Parts: sequence; C-alpha cells; structure tokens
Amino acid sequence: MSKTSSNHLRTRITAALAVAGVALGASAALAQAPISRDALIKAAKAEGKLMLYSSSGETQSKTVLGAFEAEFGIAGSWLRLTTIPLIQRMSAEIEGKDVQADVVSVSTTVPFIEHPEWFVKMTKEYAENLPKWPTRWVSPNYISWTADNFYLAYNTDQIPVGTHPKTYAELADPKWKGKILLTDPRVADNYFGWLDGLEKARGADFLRKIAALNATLTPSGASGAQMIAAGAFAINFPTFQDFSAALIEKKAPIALFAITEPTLVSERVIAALANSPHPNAARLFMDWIMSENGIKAACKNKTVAVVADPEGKFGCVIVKDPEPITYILTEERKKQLVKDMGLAN
Amino acid sequence: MTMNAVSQTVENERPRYRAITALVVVLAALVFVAIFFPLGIILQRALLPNWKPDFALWATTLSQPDLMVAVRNTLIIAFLNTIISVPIGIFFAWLVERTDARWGALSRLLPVIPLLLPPVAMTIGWLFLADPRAGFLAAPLQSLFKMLGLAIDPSALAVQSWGGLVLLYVLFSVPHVYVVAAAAFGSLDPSLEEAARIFGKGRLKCFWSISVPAIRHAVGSSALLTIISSFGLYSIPALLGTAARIDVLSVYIYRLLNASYPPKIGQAVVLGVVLIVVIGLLWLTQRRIASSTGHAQIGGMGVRPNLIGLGAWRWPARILLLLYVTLTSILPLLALFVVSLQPFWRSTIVFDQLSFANFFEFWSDRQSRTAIINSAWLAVLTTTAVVLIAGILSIVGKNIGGAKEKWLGVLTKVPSAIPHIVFAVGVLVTFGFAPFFLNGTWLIIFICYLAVYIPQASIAAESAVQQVGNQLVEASRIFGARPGRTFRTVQLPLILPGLAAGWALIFTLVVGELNAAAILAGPRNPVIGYLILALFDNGTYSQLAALGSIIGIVSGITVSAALLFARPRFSGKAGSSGD
Repeated sequence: MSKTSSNHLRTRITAALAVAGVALGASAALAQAPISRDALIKAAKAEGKLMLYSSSGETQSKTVLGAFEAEFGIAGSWLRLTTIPLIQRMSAEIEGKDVQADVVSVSTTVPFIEHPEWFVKMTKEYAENLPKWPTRWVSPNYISWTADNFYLAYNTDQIPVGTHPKTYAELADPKWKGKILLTDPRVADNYFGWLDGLEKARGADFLRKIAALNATLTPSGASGAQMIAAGAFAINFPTFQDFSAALIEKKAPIALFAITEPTLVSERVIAALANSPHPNAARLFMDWIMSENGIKAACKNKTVAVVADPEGKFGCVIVKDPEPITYILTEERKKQLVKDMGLAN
Repeated sequence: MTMNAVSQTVENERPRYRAITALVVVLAALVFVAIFFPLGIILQRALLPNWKPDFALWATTLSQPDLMVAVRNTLIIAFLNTIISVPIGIFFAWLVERTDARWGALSRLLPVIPLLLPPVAMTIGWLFLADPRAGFLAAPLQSLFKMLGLAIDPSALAVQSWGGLVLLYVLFSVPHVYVVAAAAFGSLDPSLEEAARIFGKGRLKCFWSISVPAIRHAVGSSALLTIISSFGLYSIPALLGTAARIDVLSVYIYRLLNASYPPKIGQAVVLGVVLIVVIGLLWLTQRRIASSTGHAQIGGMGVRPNLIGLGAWRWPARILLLLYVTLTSILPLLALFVVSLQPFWRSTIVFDQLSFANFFEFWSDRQSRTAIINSAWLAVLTTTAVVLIAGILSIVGKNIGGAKEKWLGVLTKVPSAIPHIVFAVGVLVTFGFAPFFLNGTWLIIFICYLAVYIPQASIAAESAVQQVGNQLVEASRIFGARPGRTFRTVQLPLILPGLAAGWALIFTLVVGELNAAAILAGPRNPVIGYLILALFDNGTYSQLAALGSIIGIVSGITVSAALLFARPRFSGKAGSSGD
C-alpha cells in the first residue's frame, strides 16, 4: 500500500470514528435531555434494539418485550438470571466500561441505593409518564414496577379449592404438620425480608409456632412448586406466581393463594442504566412501561401486580394494602430470624 | 547404531528439543495466565482490599457456627463417599479390565452411565424415583410393605436423608473412580498378576495384593477426585440435603454468593483459600504415599496379556455389575425419561398424556437448539484442549521431577477450590473488557472452563503418566527419535486411555456446568447450563427431564466414542488364563 493511500485510509477511519463519536455523544445527550415523544421514538427506532437484564420469568420478559416490539418495532432481547448473579454480571460490565444492559429489573433495592451512579435519574423530563406513577413507588433512580405477593401453593388433589388456609394464622394450625414444604428463607434476600415482615407483624412466637410444624425445606420456590404439583406435599410457602405459572398452564393439580394478615409484597424494581448501548430505546421503554399499554402488557399473563394498577382495571393481580418487605437486614437480625424459625442453633 | 552415533544424533536433536521445550513453556505460561490472572484479581479484591490484609474478614468467616456444622457434614460425606466409591469403582474396573467378567465393549461403558447426566438431572431423576410420597417407587413399596406385614414408614427410605445423600454422592463418584482405575488397569503389564496366579494366589487375593497396589497412583488420584467432588458438588446437597436439613459446605458457599446483595465474595474466597491448602496437602500426601511404596509401570517388555478367569464366579460377577447399574442408573434414568414425556411430574403414569412435547419444545426454540449444539462443540473443544494441556504438563512435570513438579502439581489443583461463579467473575473482569473485549463470546467461556477443569484433567493425566515407565521413552531417545516423535509414537499411545478417561469425565462436567455459565453465557453465546438454570427457576421438572435426557444422549454418544476409541493397548487381544 502506498504512503498516500495509507494516509487517505487513516483520514477516512479518523473521520468515521469522529462521526460515530459525535453520533454516540449526541445520542446519549438526547437520551437524558427533554425531548418530544416523536423525536424520542425516532431516536429509539434508529437504535433498533433493547437489552433487558431481568430476574423475572422468561414468559414475563418475552410478553413485555414482545408488546414493546409490536408497538415500536424495536427488537428486545433479555438475559434471565436470578437476582444476585445478574447484578454481579451487570456490575462487572459496568466496571469494565462495557455496559450490555439497557434496562435492569430485579427483586432488590440495594444496588440502586449503593450505586446510584450506575442508573439514569428518574425525572419527569426523562419519562413523561413518571408523574402518573404512584409517588410511593418512585425513587430517585428507579421505580418499583410490580409488588409481587407472597403466595402459598397447594395441591388441589389433597386440599380442595376453598378449604386451604387463607391467613398466616390459619397456616400455623397444627393440622398441617407434616404436610408443609417451606421455602428455605436463607436462600434469598426477599425470603429473608418476608420472614422479617412476618415477625414484625405477628411476633417471634408466631415464627416458633410455624417452626413447630416441622416443615420440610425446599431450596427454592421453583422446586417447591414441582413438589406440590407432584403431590409430595400439600402446601408450599412462601412462593411467587412465576414458579407455578407453567404448571398451572399444563393443568397440574396446583393452585395459588395470596396469604394475608399481613399482605407482604416483594418489590420488583426497574431502572435504566447509565451509559447503556441503546439509551433512547431504554428511555422509551421506561416511559412505555408506565403507560396504559405498558401496564397491560406486564399484566397480560395475569401473574403480576403492577403497582400503578391496584384495582386491577388493566388486568393486573389485585393487591390490597400491600406491605413491602425490606431488603436490608443486619446479619444479627437474620440470625435471630432463622433461629426463631428453627433453622439454626 | 554405535554409541558415538547415538550421541551424535542426540546432539543434533538438541535445538529441536529446545524448541519443543520453549513451546511447552509458552503453553504452560498461557494456561497459568488464564488461571492465575483472574484468580489474582479475585484474591486481591477479596483478601487485600486497598492492598491491606483484612484479618477481620478471616475472623468473621471462620467463626460462623453454621460454617462449623457445614464443614462437619461435608467431612462426613467426603469420608463416607471416598471409602465407599473408591473400592466399588476400582473393583468394577478390575472386573471389566482384568477379568473374564467383561463381555464386549458394552461392559466397559456400563459403570459410567451415571456420568452421562449433569448432577442436577441425576438428582431430580432420583427424586422422581425415590421421593417417599411422589416417587414412582413410593406406592409399590407401600403395597409391598403392607403385603409383607411390615410396619415401615416409606419416609424412612426417603432419598432426602443422610443415606440418600451419600448414595447420590457415591453414584456420582463411582464412575469417576472407575474411568481412572480402568485406564490404569487396561494399561497395566499383566505379568505380575499372571505370576501371582501361577504361584497359586486366589482371585480376590490377586486383586487386593497385586492389582490394586500396581495402580496405586490411580487409586490415589481417584480418591482425590472423589474428595474434591465431595467438597464441590452443589445440586445433590441443595435438593436433597436441604430437605433433610443437612447443610454442607458447597451450599453454604452458594448462599454466601447468591442469597444477598452484595454477595459475600470475600468470605467465599477465604473458604476457597482454606480449601486450596487442604486439597494441596491431600495431593502431596497422595503423591508421597504412591511414590514411596512403588507401583507397577508399563514397561518395554513384550507381553501377551491374559485375563483372570473367574470360573464359577464369572456370571455372579456380571450379574452384580448389571444389578448395580440397573438399580443405580437405569431406574433413575427411566424415571427421568418417563417424566420428560409427562406434561409435569406426577407419581402415576397416565399413558394418554405421554408425549414428546417437551422435546419438540426445545427443538422448536432456536436459542435452546443453538445452546445444545454449541454446548456440545464447546465441550469437545474445551475438553480436548484441557486434557492435552494437562497431559503435556504432566509429562513435563514427570521429567523435571523434584520440588518443581510438586509446585506444578499443586498449582494446577488451585482452581478446584474456588467456586465457579467467583472464578467466572474474575474471568469476566480480566478478559471481558478492554483490552480483550471477550464478553459475550465463546472464547471467554472456553478460557474459564480451561481453568476450572484443569484440576480434574491434571489428576487424570498424572495418573496415566505415572503409570508409564521410563524404559520405552529412553529407548526411543537413544535410538534417535525426536522428542516430538517420542511423545507421539511412544508416550501418547500409552497414556491415551488415561487421557481418554479424563476426557470423558470432563466432557460431562463441561456440558452440565451451571455457575460459570450464569456469569459468562447469554443470548449471544447460550450454553446448556444457561438453559438448565432458566428451567430450574421457571420451567417444569418435565422440561428439565427432557433436557437431561437430551444431554444424556449427547454425552452417551460422545463418552462411549471416547472410551472405545482410546481402548487400552491390551484390549481386544486378551485371552483368559482360565482357573
């Protein structure tokens, strides 16, 4: 290659990089600044893609992203992992300055509080639907998207529908001894939060009463649902709807009931990542999930309770007087709780 | 050829020998970078935050009462697993490789059947079979007890118990012991056994006092593999141990990393460092015992191998083997397959509802299909690379000997003590971004697997290499063969059965790997582990069973091919020595 052509090539590459840099910078700036909806849609469509990191079930992500694509023509893909590996992966990518996710949705608030710089600030300039979202569920850099009830799953061959326990007090009845499969509360923050909420509402003696039922432990709500459907146990709690959705669809003898007194809920939060590869698509998506269409899409499978639809008018699961659990507990508190539940010495 | 001519030839070969040495050094350096660069980053972050030692972390980690319970339970399981699995695996290997109980290639594959499933699939297979209330055996057992007038509560035979837990650890470990021991027996010079038989030693006496000591390295290696897997297995204790309230170290470490945010990586790494020391000491002890007492090696003498005739015990031995395989492998595999045909797991089989829908569901989903196909390729490539590297390092280690060999041996075992998920984070941080930018690629998973499976590969390779004597190699060198040719035509064929055994082991581990996949795989580079995790959390056990069956078929074909392709040198030529 001659020196002249080499210089020419270098000039062209430099120019291309400069244009790309300006475009990227402009795109990022556009994603934060006030913008008309039409301009945002145009910019998001130009990006053409959206990556969602989510710990919710595959079906839920598929449904929501499918509806988003149907409305805007922006193809969504998702990475589905449980909360902690998902955040570990995301934090490594942020640290490596190679952010892959545009939007993240998990069942914990801790990383959003500890690392606010990772996320885009939620303002009405950023998302025009934000003022419509219940203020109780809005935080500086994320929104609480759904308030997932803690359920009990029961085998309908063993317990006819309607005769199942409906409150925690009924659940502690000694008649259920030997029939209960308890999801090990030590496996995840939200189960610890559930234990904490239950103790606060009903006291440590109540936990000891549950412990006296001598429940068998299961390492996850997912395996608990399978055991209930198979008839290995009559009742599994605490659990979430996602774990039983596929079984119910296949007509397995399993049903769910949202336990009350107290009505504890686990918040699923959602946020857009700063420096994401598709900032405009992320912004449009965040705005869209707060719209009527977005809420309807989230509730299409009838498995989640979107916090902006407490009455269920868009088809969401109704949760009355939800009491969100806390995700931040001290080690001492955790130790005391598992001790009261008879899971540690 | 005169001695002068031989010296001249050796002199001429020196530059080539240096080139090969340099190649080996570069290879070793690359492997060590893949292992120790990510590991170094993890250790520094966890143990030396701000480059200062955090002694409080050690105190907090090691003073947890729950940890003591988990360690105690793990030690009990490791002890029971080792003393049960090693004799069973070695005995079956001896039956198949050294006696006329073997019948065709089939018998060589029977004991490795449990190896074909990832541990999570094997565990749920046993749940389907032996859950006291919903297992396929629950109702027949209850009827049987009733008929016999026995007042036995079926819960007493639950697989979710100490007994069930140890049983599954043993089932997982026996094939590991078997393949290593079978490779050693297959390569063993049979003259010692024949001499013993001529001098009137009984069959069992021959097994115990001649055959087993002759493969002492393989026995030690398989015991070490068993102990390492006892420390590291997660799926079995998570599913069965949790229900029985038996906490073990792997589940304890998993909770440290997965239960809360931020994950307690520091505590997990502290435990990993303690495990590194324990495994290193065990490896050194195993080497010392095996070396100090001597063992038989493949020599340069021409031999005409004969199998030990079991006489009247031939068929009982075969029946024992078949019974073991049926009870421990075929039944749970069948249970897994039946459930894969059901819409969901249920204890009664409704024939009208059986279908291949779960299989078609996988095949119709593009990402699942891609994950299965590409995982198989990734496993073939990774396993071949890791076994070759381990083989070369073992040969080099044997040649250099002394303290350097010991260090090489210990260093290649280090990754076995680090949880895969922690190691994967280190690999992602190291190679995922600038300047490598491997995030979301196959190469990053390849690098991670290369590092995490080097311990198992090196244990299998060391066993194979130690079994080969020096006579043939020295003879080859003296007669002017280049080092490469000596390796290719003398050493490789002799250690090939051992390497193939290691290959088979690691292939199945790679195919079913979950935790590193969680960090490194994704929509752009899906692997089977990613699918298993998704199904385990949000699918049905029927879908998981279907995936387990597919993995079983893929692993079955591949492992059979590997073990049959690299048959020991005496196989197929042996006759029976009779009684």
